[in-house]
Amino acid sequence: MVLIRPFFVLSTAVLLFGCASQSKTADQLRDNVQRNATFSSREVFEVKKPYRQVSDTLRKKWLECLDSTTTGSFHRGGNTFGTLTNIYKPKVAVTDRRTELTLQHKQTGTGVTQLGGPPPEGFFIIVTDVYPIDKNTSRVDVQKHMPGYAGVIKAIRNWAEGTSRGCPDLAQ
Amino acid sequence: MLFAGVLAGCSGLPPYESDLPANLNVRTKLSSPSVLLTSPLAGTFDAHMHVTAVDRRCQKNYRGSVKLGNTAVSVGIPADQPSYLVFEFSGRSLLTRGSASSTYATLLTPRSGHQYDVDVVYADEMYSITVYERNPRSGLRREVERRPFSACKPN
Repeated sequence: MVLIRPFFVLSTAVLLFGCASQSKTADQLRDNVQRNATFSSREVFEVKKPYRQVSDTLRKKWLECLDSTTTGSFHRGGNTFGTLTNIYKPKVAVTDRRTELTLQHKQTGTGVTQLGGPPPEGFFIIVTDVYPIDKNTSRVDVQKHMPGYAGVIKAIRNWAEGTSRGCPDLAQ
Repeated sequence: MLFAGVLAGCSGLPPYESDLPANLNVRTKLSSPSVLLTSPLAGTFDAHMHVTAVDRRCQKNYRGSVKLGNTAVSVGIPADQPSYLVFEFSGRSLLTRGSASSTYATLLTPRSGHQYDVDVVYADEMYSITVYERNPRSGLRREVERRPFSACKPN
């Protein structure tokens, strides 16, 4: 399963995203989630921690864990093999009222063409917004526009709640 | 044959060798993310640390790799100059005839006279890599934050 999933994601994305609009900005991703676009999902939760603390932790872990590259090779049939490289670019913008964490994704490899004119650092696949609710409560709003990446969603919750500092393996 | 070539190419990493006194101590705990990547099913799951020297102009010079297993390893890296350490987790399956890997990288500038302990843990499709700086004289130990390569400034 471990070596199949990335390529399932790739082929699915190529087949189905070809007809849909992949997100070229964070706001476009939010719009796509709002209108329940294919492969979009949203998870909102609150943590009993001050906004600044949650913001600092997520900023640090976001940049540390998601600045990653994954590579893979797969059997294409006969004696031919393909390669695939996924390059992830995390970014963070912090204000007193909101922390915006974005993750962009660029893909290269054998026979891979990202349709739809991706931005230079890739399409936006995950946007996480953190807001203060009151002095000791923060809201975390995770929006995703790509199949898979359950590990990232789980990790975001772990980081926010302080249950684990582990990084998700983006090759899984 | 081609697949065999891919495997050979991937397993033929040059070992990191150094005459410097050991100052980087890596302890690793690996748990394969899939049964396909275990030896009974002709799969493998490995971790490596790739060591790259970084000069004053922030130019990289790959120096070799260390295979990380369940035995602690110690190597020497130059003090007072940055090294770019890339930790790679990779799995290969003969059944699916595929492979996948992911990386975590940090720029480390060891201080002379200090030891650096690295804890590498992979379990449940999550990993953590924690670097500690230890002063052997005082016994004091502190966690060293990860620095991306972009933190390197030419001088």
